[in-house]
Amino acid sequence: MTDPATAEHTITQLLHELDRRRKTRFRLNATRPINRLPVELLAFIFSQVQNCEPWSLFPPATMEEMKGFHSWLKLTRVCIHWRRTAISEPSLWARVYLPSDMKNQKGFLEMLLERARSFPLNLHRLLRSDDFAFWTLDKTLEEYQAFATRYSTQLRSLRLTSAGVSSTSSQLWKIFDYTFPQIQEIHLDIRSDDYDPVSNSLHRILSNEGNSIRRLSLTYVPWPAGASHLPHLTHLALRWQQPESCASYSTFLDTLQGCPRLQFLALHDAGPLATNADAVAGRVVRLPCLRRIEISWANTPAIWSPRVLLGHLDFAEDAEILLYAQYMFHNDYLAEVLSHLPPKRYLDRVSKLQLRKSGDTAILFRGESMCIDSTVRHDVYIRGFVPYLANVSTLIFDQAITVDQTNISMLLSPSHFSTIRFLHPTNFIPLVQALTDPNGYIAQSPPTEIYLPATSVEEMSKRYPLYRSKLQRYRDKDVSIVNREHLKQPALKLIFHQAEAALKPPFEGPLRRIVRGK
Amino acid sequence: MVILITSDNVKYVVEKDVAELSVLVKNMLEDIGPSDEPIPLHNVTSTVFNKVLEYCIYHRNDPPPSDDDEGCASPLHKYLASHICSEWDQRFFDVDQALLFDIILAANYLDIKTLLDDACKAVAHLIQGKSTEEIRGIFNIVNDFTPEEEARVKKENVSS
Repeated sequence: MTDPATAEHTITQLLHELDRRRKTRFRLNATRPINRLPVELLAFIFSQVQNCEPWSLFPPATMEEMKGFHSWLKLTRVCIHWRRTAISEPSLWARVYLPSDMKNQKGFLEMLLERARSFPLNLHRLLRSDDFAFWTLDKTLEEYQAFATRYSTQLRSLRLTSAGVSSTSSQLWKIFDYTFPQIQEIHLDIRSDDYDPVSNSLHRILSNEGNSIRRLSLTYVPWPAGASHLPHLTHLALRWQQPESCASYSTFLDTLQGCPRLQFLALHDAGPLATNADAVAGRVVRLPCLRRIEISWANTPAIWSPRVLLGHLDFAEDAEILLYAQYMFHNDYLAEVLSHLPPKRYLDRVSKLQLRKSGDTAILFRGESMCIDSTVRHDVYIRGFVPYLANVSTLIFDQAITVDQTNISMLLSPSHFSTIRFLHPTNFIPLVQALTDPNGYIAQSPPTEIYLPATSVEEMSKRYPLYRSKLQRYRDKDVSIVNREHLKQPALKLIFHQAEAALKPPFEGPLRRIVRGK
Repeated sequence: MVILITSDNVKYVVEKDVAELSVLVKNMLEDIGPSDEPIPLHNVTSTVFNKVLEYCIYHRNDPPPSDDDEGCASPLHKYLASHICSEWDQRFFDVDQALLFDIILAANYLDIKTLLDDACKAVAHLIQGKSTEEIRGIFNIVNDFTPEEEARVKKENVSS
């Protein structure tokens, strides 16, 4: 048998060895490139992983987008350095999202609040119908009251969502009886049988001269009448408003006038009704800071007409105007979409038209550029849109396209485009032939420049053996000049560019967030 | 034009609007006024600066970052692209880890906010959707928790 002293010695040695190995692993981790970054940069990467976008998104993230939000906590299990870094960064813990199915909400909330320390809090709470059942109501209100009492001075953002609750207790709005001196964001997405209590509470907050609300989004909840001076508001979203509870045009324009710092305005089946726009004929509201306005609709575009609203607004030319509707490019709706395009002064600015086939459906204007994203082929629609764009001169195909007779007639007949840019390899030979054919149709001012990826020549040689000899002449050239003197037209310039030297198209990322319908 | 010299003594002649995407360079230019004197970039090698320059040239005409609310790191136009970077950006950041972290350090030193944001987002994309073990594998990190610590951390995460 081993004597106790030897056993103790052996255990001590083993513990030392374990500790030595752990320290070795710790030191080894410290040499890894990611762990050589300054702690604040590693913490910043963590905030990106934590997916700060759902918190920054505006209008606020959907439940779908918030799914798995807390999975970022796995970062705290990677190694000691990562755990210490995460815990030392209060902002990571100040985003308090409590999904209804979370186990041990109370314990989790306490952990977050403790680690957030005094960092301004963003609280996102999902309300369940159970929270307002008569047997739990008192407890729920008590919890809210306790939270509000303790953290009212620290709350920066409050978001309440009623996921499928048809009516919520009016007593909930007692939470707004508290003063939240630091609150900058209010997001309410709540269905209720009676909006008066919440409207009254909101009205009280928004009418307070000292309010510092910067972001406000109301889904289902009507705009509180009379709230018309929000000097700090930068982001406003109204969604799914009942037409009968909508502000009049005059009131709505008063509201916008009272938001001189507004940068972003999103209206989805919301806003003033076009039917009562006559009362404000000729009135224009200047929004000097506006950077983007989104107007979208589900079924009833006529009553929320973007054309009418944009006619009453004045903002910087490089601000973005986004329009979308579920069936925007469906054949039956095209005429309707065209009737809702922005007024002529916006359309006349457009000189570049970018076309993309994507899972999105939207039109975006920014200064001299316009982009149409659609799930369908665009050729059908070019004829529909181009007549409205008197000054468009550059057409950018940001989608794979096969040039055929239909496309050629589409490209040439509007006689608008002096430049065509293909961002993807394309069989350009038929187009060149059509543009130089003495017997073919030549528009009055045919294109004079065609930009193509350099890989077009190689790819087309492989795919179209018939053109191989014709393509030979373009090989290894950056620019080819095609003479058109016989047509009394200026020469056609074919410009081949490498992918990395490609001109940046006006629009790259998605035009809009695709928020799933309710 | 602006002359920049990297830490390994490579000289670059860069257009002013491109160079001024770096707040560090912009401030230095403001401080020294009109001059042909080269500006030294002590903490950036030419290998890394080539990448930085490529990014700045491509993004030179992007709208400036918004002076948005505190806590919202991304400028407005980036909100939409938060999950989907452009193809160009994806290609740009498809480099080995050592270079990616050097780009982050360079962007931090040169104070190019959009590059720093995008590069950190590229690292975040490497991590997103991965398990703890997979993350350790990606960055060649080993588990240095004691069994007790590990149990405690796991328990804390389970409660969420």
